[in-house]
Amino acid sequence: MKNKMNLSFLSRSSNEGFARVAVAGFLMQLDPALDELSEIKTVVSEAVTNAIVHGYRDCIGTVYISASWDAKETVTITVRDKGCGIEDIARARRPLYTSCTTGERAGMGFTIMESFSDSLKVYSIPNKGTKVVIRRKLRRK
Amino acid sequence: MDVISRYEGDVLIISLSGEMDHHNLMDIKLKTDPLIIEYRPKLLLLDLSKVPFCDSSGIAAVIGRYKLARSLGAQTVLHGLTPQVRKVLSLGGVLGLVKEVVKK
Repeated sequence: MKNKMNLSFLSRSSNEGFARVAVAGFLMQLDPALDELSEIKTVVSEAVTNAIVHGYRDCIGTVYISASWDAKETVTITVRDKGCGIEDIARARRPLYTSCTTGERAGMGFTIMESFSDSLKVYSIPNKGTKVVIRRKLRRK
Repeated sequence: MDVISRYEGDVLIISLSGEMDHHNLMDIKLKTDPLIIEYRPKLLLLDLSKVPFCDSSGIAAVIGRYKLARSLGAQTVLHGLTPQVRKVLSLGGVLGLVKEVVKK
């Protein structure tokens, strides 16, 4: 049975934990394996952190999340911002690349998102925002 | 992020308690770097047994402390990795640089 939820919140770092727990709480209805749920939480954390750190690097904006699943229990999570966008998506997805020069960033966010999902699509328009769509089929317990 | 430390025989044990994400990254840096600089241990042991979650900011947190310790002549080891934390740190190549030890 299909289901969907939407969530939006300000791009404050204190909401990173809230976002991953909210998505995990919604997905609990599917009774996922613990390690699957941990990986999905990690993916959400990376995508939300990117929106906060990079999308809204100079301002506070709104981060939008939707999470849904279809009849085959494929989960789709969309994390969207209306921030500065990414000029070169291929470069941003490269392991160890980070545009942040001031803080301690690992540049591994996209690599982790790719590893923990079945598909990862990134859509971005400079000065308009970024949308990340993650799909993952839950395995049967 | 709660940080507890103990210094014994050239070994500095820093125990973190909380989630290693971007929100806590600066707090980890501010609470641990002064300890490493003050004690200048030969071995830095990061006890992560009370860290239930980390993302790529956790990779940055460990690598940052490893680099600081190395610049002061100290080795770094990790202890108490939960399965999720081990998976993320391994993916980030951290476990090739910083060994995991079973005993404290």
